[in-house]
Amino acid sequence: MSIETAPLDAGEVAHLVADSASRLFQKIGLIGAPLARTQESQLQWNAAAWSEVVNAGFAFAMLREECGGVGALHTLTILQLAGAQAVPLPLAETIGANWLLSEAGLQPDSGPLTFADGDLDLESDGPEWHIRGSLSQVPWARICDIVCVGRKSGVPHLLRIDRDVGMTSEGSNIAGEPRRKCVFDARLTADRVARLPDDFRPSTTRRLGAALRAAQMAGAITAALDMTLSYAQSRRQFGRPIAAFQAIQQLIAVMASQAATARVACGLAAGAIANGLEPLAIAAAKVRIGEAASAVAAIAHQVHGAMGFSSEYPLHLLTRRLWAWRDEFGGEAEWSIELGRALIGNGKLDLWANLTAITKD
Amino acid sequence: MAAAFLSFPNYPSPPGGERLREDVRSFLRRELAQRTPLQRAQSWNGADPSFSRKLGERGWLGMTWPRRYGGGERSYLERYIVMEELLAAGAPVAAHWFADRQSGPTLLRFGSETQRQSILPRIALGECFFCVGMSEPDVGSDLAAVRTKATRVDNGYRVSGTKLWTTNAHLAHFMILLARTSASEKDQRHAGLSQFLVDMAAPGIQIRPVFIPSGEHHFNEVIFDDVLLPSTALLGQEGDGWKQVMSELAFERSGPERFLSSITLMIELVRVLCGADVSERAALAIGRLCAHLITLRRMSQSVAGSLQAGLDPVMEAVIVKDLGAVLEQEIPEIARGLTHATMSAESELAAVLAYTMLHAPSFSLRGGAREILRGIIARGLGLR
Repeated sequence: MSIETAPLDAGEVAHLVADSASRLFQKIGLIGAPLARTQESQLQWNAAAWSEVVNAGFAFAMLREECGGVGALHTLTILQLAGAQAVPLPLAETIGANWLLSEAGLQPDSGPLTFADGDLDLESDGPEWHIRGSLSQVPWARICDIVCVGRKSGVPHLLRIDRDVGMTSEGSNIAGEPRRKCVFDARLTADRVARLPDDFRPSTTRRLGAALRAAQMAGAITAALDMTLSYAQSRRQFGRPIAAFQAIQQLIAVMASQAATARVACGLAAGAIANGLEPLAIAAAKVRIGEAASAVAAIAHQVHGAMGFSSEYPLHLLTRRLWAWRDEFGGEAEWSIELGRALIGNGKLDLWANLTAITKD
Repeated sequence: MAAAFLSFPNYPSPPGGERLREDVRSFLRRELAQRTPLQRAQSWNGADPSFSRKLGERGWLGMTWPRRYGGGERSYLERYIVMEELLAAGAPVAAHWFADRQSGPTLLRFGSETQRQSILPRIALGECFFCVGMSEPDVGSDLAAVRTKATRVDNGYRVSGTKLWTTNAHLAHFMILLARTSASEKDQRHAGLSQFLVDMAAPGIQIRPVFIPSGEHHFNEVIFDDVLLPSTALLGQEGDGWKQVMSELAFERSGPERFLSSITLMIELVRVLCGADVSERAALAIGRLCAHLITLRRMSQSVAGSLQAGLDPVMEAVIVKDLGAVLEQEIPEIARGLTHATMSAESELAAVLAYTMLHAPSFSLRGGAREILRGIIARGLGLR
């Protein structure tokens, strides 16, 4: 079943995938685990949870069907559900890295893996290879092998770099998720390098990352809406639930529309993945979801008042991720410029013709 | 889990959809070759009965209706393609727009067989135009408060009252009128309302123009001075007016005109920008607006797909309309910031910008004020 023939989230396969993902993520996500909400525990590696994710087959979600893949649409459904539960694991990263490995003819595995946007310099060194350069803000690199692109005289190769290669410095994004800077001047064995097809586009890893983050964000946005709805209905002030006030109702209505848009944009990203990571649809999805994320996070905090501004209350697990993910693999400004330049075009076609050509199904 | 109406399923494009789109485009290129950007910007405010008839000849009116009523039995997704192409090209669609969009579907759903047979084929031919008799001088958002009264008499109903903001009443052959047929009870404000199919030529109907700030005449005040309607003018069941008018509003809110009102301005802006080196600032602004348009198109297509599937996407239509109006109103503000230095006051772009700016306040009023729409969404979420 592809996005062309079925509505998002409909159909038996979708329900099966969604049900099993939902159950698992409720168990291992931070939203459902009140004691695991502090920043320190987020940074601890949960090997047991990871093996459950692997057993569910999610690490291979984006591969071809015969290799365990479930297709772009269901992959993004899984990531939406992971985003909704703030699952503290490199699932999107492993899914993306495995897809890149299989594109290059390297062996996918159960990881955990990560991938990075940014090219390294690559030279042959006898039977082996030499890599130079740096990667910044690499997600989860502390516990993952890194998959990225290296170029030998401009020719793209895919690299798999063991996790402790290079000089590293640890950091985190504003959600507290681990992000590492890596500086390389190191050797790679021949089995860790594979030439990519000549038509492999330079921005593939960025587009891939943007599409996967878009799905996680769509999930976190829906979850923030749900959390805000139930808070507004249970929190009482002035003798009634705050949901009874028009000012609050209007805010939440705006939030709901933004959440709906985010889900639609996520469907757009799924279509783009199925269509060779079509860049303009991914750009539109990341821009629109990024904007929705900003609006939803702001309203969620406004409605929650001071109660939502405590590390005890789980809202920040969603909003901090939304703030961080907006900017990863290209923020709204960067993608808007790319989309704008492409659609303004060369004057041969008008804007409408260019615009309708993107999402032609 | 959040409400189901937030999921906007993706429906496949209709078979032959792209060919249909090309047919519409080549027709519009021929028909609208002489239309200036300013005229295009008027789009669904621009009425041209002869253009409406040409659409009727091609089967692009009443597209989804049964053939026995002159319809084309096409899908809502095909209709969506025709609608958005007409709007994007700035076609003068106002003459038939209301009849095709909401009056026809209302007749189809609630009308008598005689009403359907006598009127629907003429709408589909582009020969019969409608206006919408909902708002009144004291009744805007609070539609249940209508005061226009229809009193049953031996040979029909006597109607007295005043409708206001009635777009194109001066061009329309018929109005679907919402009137009170029995007194409003305190707890049941929605009871006692009925809809009527009113022939605008009936004696006692007086139409006065109401000019908008730009000086244009689209709106009217329509005064009913003891107008006698035959009993066959009743549309649907007496007392069901509220239910029927809510269904009509769902059609009124569901289409691509709810986010494409400023599209001519965007197209003209890009036409001007693409001549020179595109600045990063311009690319950013246009790219962002396009990301909004791309997602809204998908949402509106989803509404069309749901209608085709026999669902009632009332909430979805409200969401598209609310988001759409925000975008439509942002476009002229952003255009100002991108053009001020380079644009001569006499240019076509300046004219389109001025036109769009002058009409922008209405985008979040017509078809349901923003606050009303958000109230409906809040109700759908269970907050009220």
